[in-house]
Amino acid sequence: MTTDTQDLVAFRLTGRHPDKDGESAAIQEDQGGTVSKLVPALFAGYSDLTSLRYDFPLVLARASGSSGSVQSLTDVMNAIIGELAPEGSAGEFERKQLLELERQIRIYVAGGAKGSLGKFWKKAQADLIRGTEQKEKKALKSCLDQGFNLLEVDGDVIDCNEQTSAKVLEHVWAAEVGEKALRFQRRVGALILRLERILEADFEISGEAQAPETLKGALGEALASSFDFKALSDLLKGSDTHDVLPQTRTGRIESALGALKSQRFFATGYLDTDERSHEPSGEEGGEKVHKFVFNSCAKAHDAFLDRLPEMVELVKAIAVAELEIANGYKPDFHDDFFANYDQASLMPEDLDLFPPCLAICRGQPWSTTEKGRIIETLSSGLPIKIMVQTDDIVPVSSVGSGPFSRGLSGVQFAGLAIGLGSAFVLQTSASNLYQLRSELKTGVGSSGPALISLFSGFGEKAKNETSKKANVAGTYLDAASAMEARAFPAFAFDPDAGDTLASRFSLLNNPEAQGDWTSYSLNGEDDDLQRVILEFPFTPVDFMAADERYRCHFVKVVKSGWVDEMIPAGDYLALSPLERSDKIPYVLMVNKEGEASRYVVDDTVSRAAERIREIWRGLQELGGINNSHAKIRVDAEREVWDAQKEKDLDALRGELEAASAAAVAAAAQSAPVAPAAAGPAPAIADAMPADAEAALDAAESPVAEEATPEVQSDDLWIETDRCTTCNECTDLNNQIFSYNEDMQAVVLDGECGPYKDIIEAAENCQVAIIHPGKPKDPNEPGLEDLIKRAELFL
Amino acid sequence: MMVTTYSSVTDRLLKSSDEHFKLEDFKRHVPRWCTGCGNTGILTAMQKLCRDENLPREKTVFVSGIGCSSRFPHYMNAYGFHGLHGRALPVAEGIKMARPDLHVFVNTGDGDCCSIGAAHWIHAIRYNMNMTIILHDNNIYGLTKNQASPTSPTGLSTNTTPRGSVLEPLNPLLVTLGIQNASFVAQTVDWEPSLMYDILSKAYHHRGLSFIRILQRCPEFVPDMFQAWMDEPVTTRLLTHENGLTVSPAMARIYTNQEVHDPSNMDRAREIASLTDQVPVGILYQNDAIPCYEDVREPDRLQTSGGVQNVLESEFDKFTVWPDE
Repeated sequence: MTTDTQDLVAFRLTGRHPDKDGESAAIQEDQGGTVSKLVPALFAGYSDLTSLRYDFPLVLARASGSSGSVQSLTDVMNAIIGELAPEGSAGEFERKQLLELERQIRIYVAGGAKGSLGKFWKKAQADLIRGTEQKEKKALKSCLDQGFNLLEVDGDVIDCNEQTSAKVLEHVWAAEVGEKALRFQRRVGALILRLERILEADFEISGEAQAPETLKGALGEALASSFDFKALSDLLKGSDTHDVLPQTRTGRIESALGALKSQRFFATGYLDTDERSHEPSGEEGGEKVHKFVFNSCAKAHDAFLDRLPEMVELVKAIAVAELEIANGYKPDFHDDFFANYDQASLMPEDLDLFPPCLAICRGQPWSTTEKGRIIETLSSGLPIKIMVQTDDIVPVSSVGSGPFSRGLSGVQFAGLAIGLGSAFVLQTSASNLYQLRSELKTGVGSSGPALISLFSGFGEKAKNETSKKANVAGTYLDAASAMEARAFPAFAFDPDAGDTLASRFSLLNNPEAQGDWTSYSLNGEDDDLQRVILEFPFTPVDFMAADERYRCHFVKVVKSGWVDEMIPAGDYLALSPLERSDKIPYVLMVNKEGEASRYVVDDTVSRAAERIREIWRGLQELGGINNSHAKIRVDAEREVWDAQKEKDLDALRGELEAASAAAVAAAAQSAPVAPAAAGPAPAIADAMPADAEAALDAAESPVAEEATPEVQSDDLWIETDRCTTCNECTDLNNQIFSYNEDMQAVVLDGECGPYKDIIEAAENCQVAIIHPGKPKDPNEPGLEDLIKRAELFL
Repeated sequence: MMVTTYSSVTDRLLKSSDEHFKLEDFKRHVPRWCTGCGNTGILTAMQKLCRDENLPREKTVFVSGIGCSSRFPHYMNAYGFHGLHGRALPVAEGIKMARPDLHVFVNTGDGDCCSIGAAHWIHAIRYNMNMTIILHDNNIYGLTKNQASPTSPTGLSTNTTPRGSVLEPLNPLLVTLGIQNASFVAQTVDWEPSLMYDILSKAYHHRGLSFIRILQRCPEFVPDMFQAWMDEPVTTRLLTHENGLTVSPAMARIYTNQEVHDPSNMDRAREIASLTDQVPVGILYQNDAIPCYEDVREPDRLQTSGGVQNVLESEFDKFTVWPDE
């Protein structure tokens, strides 16, 4: 081992620079200032995100349409470009201008500007026109105006940052609640309307409605003198044959009406006749309506429990109203039922009526109480949606020389929640939210609890950078790289998606999910200006290398100090502890000038990466990749199979030997025969037709049974199923013929009348389904003729 | 037919206290049809359907026009409307519009539907409201004693065509299949009650307008009209399909002429409907994706009395009457 190698191994083991005096030739201290500009080589191409087209920024479309309520600016623009700019050179101008406008919007948003897409468009359009030469201004304006007119969605434009997850989730939640509110308003509004009509109809036949004063009031003053209202009232009372509803029933209807009208779960725009109030609104709508979005799980859970009695009342009122409208309320039975209906009676379908509560939990570490409440809520089965946001995968406390420790983070919560079995679980990075928008919707819309575990990428590192105003690629890259490095893999567990783990659990869109790591290739040039392409796995080591807080665990090695024992961190992690002893893992880092250098990593980082890999492998198993149970089974089955195959082969060999011996013997007597022909193959071929025949027989037998000819009977019989209820036979003799419960003819008693009636019935039967059989009375007159006539129907 | 969604509580309670009907519960009056009339079989099949589907009588309505078949509502113990000649469909549409929760059935004859009521027929198909039309087609006017109807075959001698009918008969299946929004078209014969029942049941469960033409015997005026088809089961072509009619082994023995026909295939449906030497029995066409008029035209907001009053007031406010001028 050379001195350089020893130094590097020492650093790997201890995390300490072996020679602080700089005497080590290999290890080079970074100079202050350059450090923060280093990024993992994977990031080299992404230094300026505003010039790239990717999922962000997102547009939170206000009206949820078929295209979904969360859209990406790129997709929105692509749709417009597709409409406006013809393919090829003809659409070059439009395409260029629209893409420039998109880039402009990206720059505003990345700079922290807030606003709607429409607003940004107008601003970008004005800016672009301002910066254009006079002669092109008109064409540009016309192009962008046309594009603006094609804009189908509008809503806030948001970039990937600390707030993104909460904003997107609240948006998806609001869309879900909006739809729910619309359904609720229609449904409950219709119930109220119809209950009121029952009461109105009841009032109209009451004595009060028919009193002279009421009648007079109804007609108005103008014509009042022309009528004798007393006479009219007497007339109405006299003709009234209806009974008014019993007091108990009107009471029941009124109390249901009261409960429906005073509910506090949705705005009550449906009761107003004013058009403007028909907008669906989830949480708005004045003081009266409950709030459903909370900043802690405990608050959301408490609020939900507090409202349970109100929910019970509303569910009861709806059921009573529906029963009353369907005229199906039976007091003897239903009074008791509703008297005993309480919180325990609420079913998930009943709870589905109400808006789900949303708890946005941010800012680790959570208090012990909050952690407990999250678990309690997730196992309760109540429709409470919890978002836990992880800002930092590796907590600050572990930074420095101490070991990495990972507190109870969102990752673990998600794992726990899967174990609970009844909660919808979705985990992903904020960067991946757009791709998983439909999963997000499923989670928010599911009938039970949901845990949405998100990584914002906005940890201490990002905060530091923001405070320093360093122009380093933002949280999008951090969030995306956490997923790329398996540090925060995406997965979903949907208990409603089926009964098996395979149908419930999904690894979603993790890149290269089959393997431990994802790989990337680096295009560059070497010292001799020759092109090189390097392939590397992207591991948590690279992910941590991107964070300057861990920079003390990395050390740069100049090219002269490279030794053979240096291997990429991905390869290092794949080795067993024994194989690693003299190896030194490194990662490639790129500085602002685009120069790549190797950085050696100490074991603290490698161990953290290994733990991350363990968790990832656990998830892979859940997702059916390298499943250990399946592997054990497959191995065991293979063993059995191999043994059986070997046995079969032995048997075949034995037969073959015997056959060839026989063939040899036969050949000695007559013409030579190919030994293989006498082998086991003909035996199998012989057996096959026999089996096939048996199978054919088995398959045919029921058909054969079906195909047996109809019953030949000496008794009168009817093909009842084909009877058309024409009454011919029953009119002729209802002692012999009758109808069954389906109103189709049957034989009541074949001997209750003369054979003549039977023959006439058979002749009259429109569909000829009466079969007379043989006569019972040999002395019936004209029997010979009758028997002849009967022959047609036997 | 009607999709009424109740809350889970109501659903459970209604199911647990559901009334269970017998066929007799749907019987009312003794039918005044001639002995041997094909309508009796249709009536029985319909009563069976109501019993088996447990249709509440107060939620079921039969609407008819004029003719022998249009006496149908009198014999069903449910709500009924014996309307004007040819006008069964507009009445039924009005009922469905006002009370979408009702199960609506229309009984109409070949004269009622295909002659005087033909315009309503065309537009009812186009509206595709969720109801079932049963065309009792006996190829003759029976109630008015033997006159040629639009479906009477050429050469049929009747009181109005003593030298034989000269016009080609109208093909109700082809007409219906040619109208936009046709969503369920089937044909059956009254002399095979089990096939008729199966098709009625499929039609009832179809969401949209289901049109069933039933070839119905009139032993009084045209006793031989369908005799050849009855005598020779091989002239009946049974249309079978997993999404259409599935036939019992007993039926399959009698009707050996079978064709596997996918009811979503409109082109083939039209070819089958054009057959003249055979009588197709089964579901010719079904498309669940066509929207129902009552769904498309469902108002955005509830028709509250306050809302209606507001609209009326605003209309009235457009005019001012000065009685003294």
